[in-house]
Amino acid sequence: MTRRPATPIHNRIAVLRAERGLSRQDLADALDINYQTVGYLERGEYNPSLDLAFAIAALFELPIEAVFSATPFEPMSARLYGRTTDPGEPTTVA
Amino acid sequence: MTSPFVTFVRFMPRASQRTRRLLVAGAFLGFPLLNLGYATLVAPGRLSSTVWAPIAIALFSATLIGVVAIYGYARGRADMKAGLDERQRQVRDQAWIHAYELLILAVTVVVGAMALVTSFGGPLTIGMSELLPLAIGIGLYLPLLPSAMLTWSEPDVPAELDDEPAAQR
Repeated sequence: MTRRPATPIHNRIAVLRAERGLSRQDLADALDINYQTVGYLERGEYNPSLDLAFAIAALFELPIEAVFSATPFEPMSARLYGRTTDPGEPTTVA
Repeated sequence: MTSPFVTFVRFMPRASQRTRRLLVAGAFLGFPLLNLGYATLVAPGRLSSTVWAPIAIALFSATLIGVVAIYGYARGRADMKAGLDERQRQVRDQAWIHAYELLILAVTVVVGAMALVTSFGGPLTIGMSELLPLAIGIGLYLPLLPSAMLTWSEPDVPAELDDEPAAQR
């Protein structure tokens, strides 16, 4: 019954979780939610409540706009190296 | 050694949506078909009891297995007092809403059919032989409806999510 939300809220939960070496279960335990819910959040199939969104941002010690966005996030590689083309092409460093 | 009942109940949360839907259909069709078949085939003498017996056992088993399957899949998740997170509560609430919609539809169809019968076919007499299976059916299916709705409609959990605790711990 969980369907992709009509208005997707993009997030960086998967990247932030991987950076910190956390499993979905670790994150779920810290947030007091089911581990499957973490997966639904990461895949954009569930939009969190404001409470949960703030709790996630607080857990990663980041401002909420660094974790959630109404528009897709720019890939980390593009932000760090100015890469705007696909990985097979020569890298353009800003 | 675990009993087949416990093994089956433990398996249910991992059952595919296709399997779950078959089991829910079995649960909800078995008992009504059992009564309908008896009333239309066996009671008037169109079918012998010997031929009907294995069919009746199969239909009753479909209901029984289906009810256990629904319990196994939805236990603790369709309950209003269950300790669920916000996404799970949303899923549970949707199951209750769909169950209510289905109930309204069923009541409307039954009342409409009764109104048509009494309007064009004269008085409708309902005896104990019709009321008893109806009462059993309502008592069996009504409390089960939200759980059945959850079992029917939940999509398959992607394997990556399903295996997460085992893989990471």
